[in-house]
Formats: sequence, structure tokens, C-alpha cells
Amino acid sequence: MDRVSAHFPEAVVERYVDRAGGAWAVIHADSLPKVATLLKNDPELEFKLFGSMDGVDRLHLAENDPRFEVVYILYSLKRNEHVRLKVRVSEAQPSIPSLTPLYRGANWWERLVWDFYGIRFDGHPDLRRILLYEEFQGHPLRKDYALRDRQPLIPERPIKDIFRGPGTSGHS
Amino acid sequence: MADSHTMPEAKGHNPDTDGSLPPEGELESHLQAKHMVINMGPSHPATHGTVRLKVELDGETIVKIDPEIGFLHRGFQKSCENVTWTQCLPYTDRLNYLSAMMNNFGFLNAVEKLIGLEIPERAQYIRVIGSELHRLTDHLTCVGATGLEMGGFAPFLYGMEARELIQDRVTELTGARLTTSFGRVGGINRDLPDGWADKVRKTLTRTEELLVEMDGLLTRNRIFVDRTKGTGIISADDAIDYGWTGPALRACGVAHDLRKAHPYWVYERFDFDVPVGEHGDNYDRYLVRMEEMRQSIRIIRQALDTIPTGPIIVDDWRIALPPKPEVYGTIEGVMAHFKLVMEGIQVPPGEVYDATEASNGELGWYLVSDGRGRPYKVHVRAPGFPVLAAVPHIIEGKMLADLIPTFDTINMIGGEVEQ
Amino acid sequence: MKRVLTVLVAMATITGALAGVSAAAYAVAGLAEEHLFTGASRLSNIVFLMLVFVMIIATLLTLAERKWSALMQDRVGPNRARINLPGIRNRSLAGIPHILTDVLKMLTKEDFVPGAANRFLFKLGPILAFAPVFALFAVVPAGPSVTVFGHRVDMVVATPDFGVLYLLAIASLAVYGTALAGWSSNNKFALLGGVRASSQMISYEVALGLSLIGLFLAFSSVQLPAIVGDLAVAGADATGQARYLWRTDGPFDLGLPAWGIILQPIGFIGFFAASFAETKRAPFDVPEGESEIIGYFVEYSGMKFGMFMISEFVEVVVLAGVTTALFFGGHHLPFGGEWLASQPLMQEHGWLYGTLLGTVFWLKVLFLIWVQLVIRWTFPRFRYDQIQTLGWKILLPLGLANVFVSGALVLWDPSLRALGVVGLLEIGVLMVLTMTKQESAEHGAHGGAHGAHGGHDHGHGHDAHALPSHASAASSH
Repeated sequence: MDRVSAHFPEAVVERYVDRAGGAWAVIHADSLPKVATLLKNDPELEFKLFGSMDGVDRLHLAENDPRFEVVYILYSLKRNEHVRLKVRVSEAQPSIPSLTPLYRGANWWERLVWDFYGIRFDGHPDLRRILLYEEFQGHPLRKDYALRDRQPLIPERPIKDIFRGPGTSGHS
Repeated sequence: MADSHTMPEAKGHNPDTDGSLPPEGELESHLQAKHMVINMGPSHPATHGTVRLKVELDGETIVKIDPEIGFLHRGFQKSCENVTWTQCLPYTDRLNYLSAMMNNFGFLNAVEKLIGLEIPERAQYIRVIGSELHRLTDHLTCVGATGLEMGGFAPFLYGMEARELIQDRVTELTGARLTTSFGRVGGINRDLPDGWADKVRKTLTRTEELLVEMDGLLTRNRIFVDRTKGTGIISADDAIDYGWTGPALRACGVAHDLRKAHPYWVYERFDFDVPVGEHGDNYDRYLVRMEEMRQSIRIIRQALDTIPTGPIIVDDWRIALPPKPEVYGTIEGVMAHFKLVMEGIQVPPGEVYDATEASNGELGWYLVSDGRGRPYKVHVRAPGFPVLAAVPHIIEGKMLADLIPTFDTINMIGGEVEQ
Repeated sequence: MKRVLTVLVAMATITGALAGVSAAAYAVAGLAEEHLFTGASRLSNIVFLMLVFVMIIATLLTLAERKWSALMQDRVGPNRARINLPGIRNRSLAGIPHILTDVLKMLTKEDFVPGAANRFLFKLGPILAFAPVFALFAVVPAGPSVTVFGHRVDMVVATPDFGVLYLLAIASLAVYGTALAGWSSNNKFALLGGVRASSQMISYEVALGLSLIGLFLAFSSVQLPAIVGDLAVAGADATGQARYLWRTDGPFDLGLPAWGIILQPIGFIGFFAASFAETKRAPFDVPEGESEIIGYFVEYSGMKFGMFMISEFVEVVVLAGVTTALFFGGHHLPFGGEWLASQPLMQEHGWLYGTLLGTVFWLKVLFLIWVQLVIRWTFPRFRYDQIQTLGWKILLPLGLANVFVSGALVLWDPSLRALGVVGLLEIGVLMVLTMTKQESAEHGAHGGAHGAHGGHDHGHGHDAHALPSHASAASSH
């Protein structure tokens, strides 16, 4: 992390340590590929294992501008540690450079984030929905997507006396 | 038969041949072979859970494969965001339904990290025992299914017998065979039953016998070796690039195991080995799993021998339910119980990424709390997800029959991949 | 103890049943000759050999396979079905009611034909798969020719001169059934299965025929009764597999019989493997491959599927019968055959003699069926290209070499003793090879050797896998 700060001081917006001792860094969206390349290829870092990534919709959090955060977890087998990166994007222009050219493992995760948060990844070779179907409207993990807003492909049989989980009904 | 299936465009006109002969493309079209696109799944005997594989075949060779997942999507994250932290637990059961306890404990571990909580030692031991028992069932199912889908029914049933014995022990411990919902934030909700340790020891002995049988039926079986050795190969670099973890990565020769790299709970107290493969093929993945089962048995034996007495859950009424006499007898107990049940555990705002070694690899949790008693964000890094993502890379250009052992040995679990 | 007793009782029952049906077959054949026209015994043989024996054994085999696999896999096997009759209301009857329920289920199921399928070919498929297999048994002699009620009765349906060639020709017809079934169901999986089935069956036919040539050379015949041979009675020399390579003198004959398995062990292995591939059972069940492509009969339901299933079991019985006749001396006893035939009791009552030897034949058949079951439930499935490799690169050269070696030996020593010695040597070599492979595998030299079981680090072969010391060193950073 220190090396990243040293190399690209302008790329790092903020750094902090969470309660469990995990180090975080918030990165500018534009410099994400640069930082990731350094993390991956620097012989002393070698964060080659793409752990995972996901989005966070900060709509209901205290600090919610820009609205979305995308979290990257990388792992270095050499140093046996995780690195946690964050990129913040606004609702108006939800797009980030894709890491798929760098990490092939990022392919499906980016599709997942696109599927559930509607954040675009520029340069992704095949940005389709992954878990949901193509006809699905909206992005269900956004906080403004109601819990019970159902979009069945095949009409559901109305069953009146079944309680379909918690939360308020999105429609009807 | 292997050349393209697009018709070559007839370019230009030749007055001599136009009209008398059909255009060139049409002449050749008699010999053209089209690739056959078949649709395996979502309901197909070899796709564990429900995965749809669009496979483009040239004869028996796979030209292109496109896994399409999501048929088992249940909205795990959205569900978790709307219930209390404790109520998330049953949802985590359904991620990897073959080893539910590991998911339970992984999630709880992450929540405890988020709170900054240290759980009692006995609870840590029970978590280790439960995890390893379920690692055994998971690997047994995987290895058995590998044998089954290659036509050997006997190893599968030997595996099932051992698995059922372990499930019986799990039932005695947790009350459920598969969806255990075991453990609570801060520890474990019930202690080991009386005489359970001895029963487990007996079960492990029988499991070892059955492992020997499976080993004898498969490991040196010429047909099995031919089917698995050299098929489904992935190099260590590619595997890392795709984000593989767990036995599948170790079969490529990378000795990475979170139990050794970042020992959590009491794993550093036990003596066990991390088996490592060499070639990254199906056979190595099979061997690694077999060996891991033996190591799991070792760990459980050691844990049962050295488990200390003591409390199994933290004595903090903001996190753990108060003991029943307190609830019935004191006003503080009733209050704490009521608040905990109705409002849930008040996890302070913050975020954490924490990972444990589940049966198929790194089970990571990224949790965000806004301090309101419900998770703000529950991200799960299912170990099967990156593994499945690499299937097209492994299998393209190989034979259709290789797809099956590959799919078996990477042990894709629909529940965790499709959340 | 109880289990052993049960098994013994079951074996005695089966033997008794076989003897009974054999006796009935001879008696009915004799009666038919007596009261109908000459040659009517062949008609009764059709009924007895092909319908009674083959069909009933095949039907019982569906149960036997399930019971046997259950035994191998620590299960109980089918025992749930009950017959609601007084006395047997609460008995599982060893699972026999399951056969009835299976048949009922298949007959009453919806007979579904896919909309886009070619209806005629779709219906023709199971018939074409079933009929040739069934017809195969016509040339297999299931007992000696004896005199019953003053008429000579052969326990065989037909004795054409081209005997074994008929077998090969009819067996290759069965491929049309599977190929048509695969193609006409208009299903890609079924098509793949059909293509796999036909390519597998066609390639194994070559090995199948070739593996038998050595046998033809040795016995100078392709007719099955001639290969099975006759005993030396009433001054005539013994022929076929009734001969002895070496025998003791004296009234009780004891010696090394000239059975096909001793003369042609390589031929036997080739034939057995190739015909196993023809039956499309594991480990050669790629056309079915239920975990990959489900099989050429995906679209079939009800009794049409039942036809495919039962034809598989009929194939097992027929294969066992043919192998018995070709390689295991048919209905002959391994020793004492001539002594038995010369007994006055046997000469007086031809049907008794026929019944005894007919039972011997069927017991050999049952043994071979059992061998097939064991193989079926032990091995996993080959891959498609590995099957072709086995057929073309191993069985075919082996068969060719066998033909030349056998031919030279028969030419050199027409008494077949040289062939017998070489055959015994081959068997010995095979046994030694099997033993040493197991040993060397334990020493880590064989291809499947992987070390490090239970902490012992002895994996220093080229693919030594688990190296615990190394692994823990590497991961404890």
C-alpha cells in the first residue's frame, strides 16, 4: 500500500484501517488500472490472485456522495495478505475501467456488479447480466429497488395466504 | 469437418461459369459440416445444481462453451440486507449446502471481526470440529460423484455411506443434516452432546475404512486414471489469474491454505499437512481431495482429544442471548432477551473483509454495517464462482466426455455460485 | 451363517430349476418328434431355448443385477414390493415382485413420441435393437443330442454350416436399432449417443471376428455344434472341445480338455472384451453415458425403453451362452464326460443324460453372466476415444498376432497340444503380469502411483503428489 502511495500519490484519495485491522485504500476510478497493474506486476507485491469484488450502494449511509462504491479484494500469495481497494462512482455516470484485461478472474465479478448495481465496466469484453435474465428491469441490489419487486418471466400463480419474506411490497 | 461453417463469399463474377455452374460456395456447401450446439442443463444429470452450458460441438470436441448460471439465484444479498444479523444464518446454510457449517462459521467469524469480538476457546474448537466434519462430507460427495458420473457406482455409495454416518453425527450436534444454522454470533448455541466424541471417533474409523475402499476402486483403476489424468488441466498461473483457491488451486501446485496462511480459530494448534498436486489436472484434484479428507480426520481427532472445557458463547448480553434462568428470573435478562430478539445485534458501523478456508476454497465475506441492527451489505465471495468462471478456459478444445470429470472435480456448488 | 445358508439354498434352487427346465425341454422335444412331424423338436427348442431360457434368465437378471450390485455396494437392494396374497403378504420374496412391478410400470406408462420425430423409424428402433439379439441364440447348442422316445433330439434351434458367421452377421444388425433410435428421436443427445454407439459397434466387430479366427483354425469349423464337439463313444474319436489334450488311461477319464479358453486365451480375452463392447454395458457404455449425453434412448418411454433395456440383458445372456459354447466346452464336463456317457443308466435314459449336461451348460452360462455383472459394477466408463484406441490399437493387433501364431502352431502340431502349451503359457504370463503390476504400483513405479498416504512420504515417482513436509514448510511462511 505504501508503495502505491509512493508511486501514484495522486491516485489514492483516502487510506484507513478498519476495526479488524484490514487496510483500505480509495482509488480514483481513472487510475484504477494503473494501480492494479502495479499491484499485480511489482515483484515485491505480486497481488496476482483476484479475490473478489462487489459494489455497495451507499444511498442510506451517512456519507453518500458519490453514491456507489466498488470494492476489490486482491490477494498476494507471496506476501500472504489481502489488499482492499475501493473506487467510488457517482450515480450520474456509473462506469469504471474494467480490470478484465488484467485479471481474467475479474470477468464474471464485473458482470455480477453490472447485474446487481448497474455499474458499467469500460473495456469489458462481454458485459452481460450473469445471474439474472436479460429481460430483467433495473438492478436489484440498489437500495431503491424494493425488496418484493418481483419480475417473474413466467407469471406467478397468486397465492394469497403465503407470506413472501420480509420487507414492504414494491408494487401491487 | 473442422473448418469453418460460414459460407465463403463468392467474389466477383466469372462470365464463363456464371449460369452454367452453381457458385463456388454452393459447390463446397455439400461438404460443409456445421458445428452442433447442444444445451446441457439446466436440468442435466451432470450439472450439479442447475447450470446451463451452451456447448458448441465439432464431433465430440468442444469448440465453445458458455456457462450460464443464475437458475438457482435466490437473492441472498438482498435477503440478508433486510433481516437481522442472526437471521442471516439460515441463508448462509443454503450457499454451499454440502458444507453448511463452514458457511455459518465463516459468516459468524466475519461478523465477530466486525464487532471486534473474541469468542471462547471451546467454541473455537467446536467450530473447527464442525468445519472439518463438513469438509469431509463435501469432499466425500465430490469424490463420490466423480466416480459416479464416470460410471463407477460403487465408490459413490461408499462415499455416501461415510457421509451419512457423518451427517448422523452432525444431526446429533446441530439438529439438522444439511441446513445446520449452527453457531451464533459470539460462539456456539449448543454444546457437544454427551458421548458424542466417542461416536465421532467411531465414525471416523469407519470413514477411513471406506476411504481405503474408494481409494482401491479408483486411484489405481486404469480406466479412471485414463479418464482423469491429463484432462481438465489448468496451469498454476492461469488458476491464480482466475482467482482459484482451495483444493483446486492446490492441485496446481500452489500450497495456499488460509488455515496455514492466516490461522483463524485454533487451527495453528493442530498438526496437519496441506496436500499439494503438481499438474492441475482432474486426477490431481481428486488426489488432493482424498488426502485432505485424511488430514481433516487427523484434525478432528486432535481437536476431540484436546478440547478444553469452558463457556461456549461470550457472556455479553448485547450479543448472546442470556441464559434462560436469567430471562425468566430477572428483569435485566428479559430486557436483554427482548432487545436481542426484536432488534438484533447492534453491530457498530464499519466494514470488514474476512475469509475462511471452506471446502472449496476461500470463503470471503465483505460486510458493511450501518449500526442499525441489520447488515447494510453482505457480500459473499463464493469459492466456486471464480472456479466455474474458468471452465471455458479449461475445456475448450477438449472432448465432451472430459467436461464431466472436470465439472466434478472442481466441485461447483450451485447454491454458492448463484447466491 | 444364515446368509451363507440362504445363498447355498438359492444356488441349489437355481440348479434345480435349470435341471427341471432342461428335462422339460428334452421331454417336450421328444414328444413333439413322436406326435408331430420329423424336425418338430426344433420348433419346441425355439420355445424352450429362446423364450423360456433366455427370456426368463434375462428377466431375472434385471433383478439379479440390482441385488448383486447392492451386495457389492453395501446396500440391501430391492425389497419393498409386496404381493398382497395370504401367506406372502409381508415377505419381500428376495425382490421378485419388483420384476412384476417393473413390467407393469413400463406397460402402463405413456408411450410418448416426440412431435418432430420420424414416427416410423422411431418405432422401428427398439424392434431392430431387440430382434437380432434375440435371434442370436438360435445357433447355440445348449445340450447334447440324445435319443428321447426313440427319436434323436438336438438341443439347438438350427445348425447351419455357417454357424458363427451367422452370429457375427446378426449381431452387427443390432447397430441399426441403436443408430435409428438415436437419429429418429430428433434429439441432439440421442443423435450423439447413436453415433457413438454405431462407431463403437462397427469398430469392435473387426476385433470380434478376428479374435475367433484362431479358434476356427484349431477346430477346422465355424459350426457351433462342431466346435463344441462330440464325445468319444462307441469307437468314434472325440471331436471339438470334447477332446482331451492329455488324459489318463482307465475307465474314468481325467485330463486337460481342449477347451477354447486353454487353446486360445488371447482370443478369449479379445472376444470377451469386444462382445462386451457390443453389449454397450459399462465400462463400454459411452453410447448411454448417462452423465454426459444420457443415451440414444433419451426420448423413449414405457415399453419402448423397456425393449432397449431388456435387449441389453438378453445380450448378456446370449454373450454368456456363445462364450460358453466357444471357449468353455459347451455342455461338456471338464472331466469324466466319457465315463458318464458310457454308464448304462445314461445310455438307457437319453433325456436324463441330456438334462444333466444341459444343466452343466446353463451353470457355465450363469457363471459367465456373473463375471459380466462383476465387471459391470467395478469399472468406470471409458472415454469415447479411449474405446476406439483399445479396439483398434490393442485388440486388433493382438487378434492379428494371435491368428498367425495359432495358425503356425496348428499347422505344426495338428493334435493341438502345442497350441495348448502356448495357451497355458499365455495364461501364466497374464497372471504374472497382473500380479507384478499390483506390486510395482505399491512401490511407486507404476503410472498410478501416488505417495504420501497417511503421512508416509514415499512419493518420489515422476508424479509424486502430496509432499506434506514441503507443503507445510511453504505455507508456514
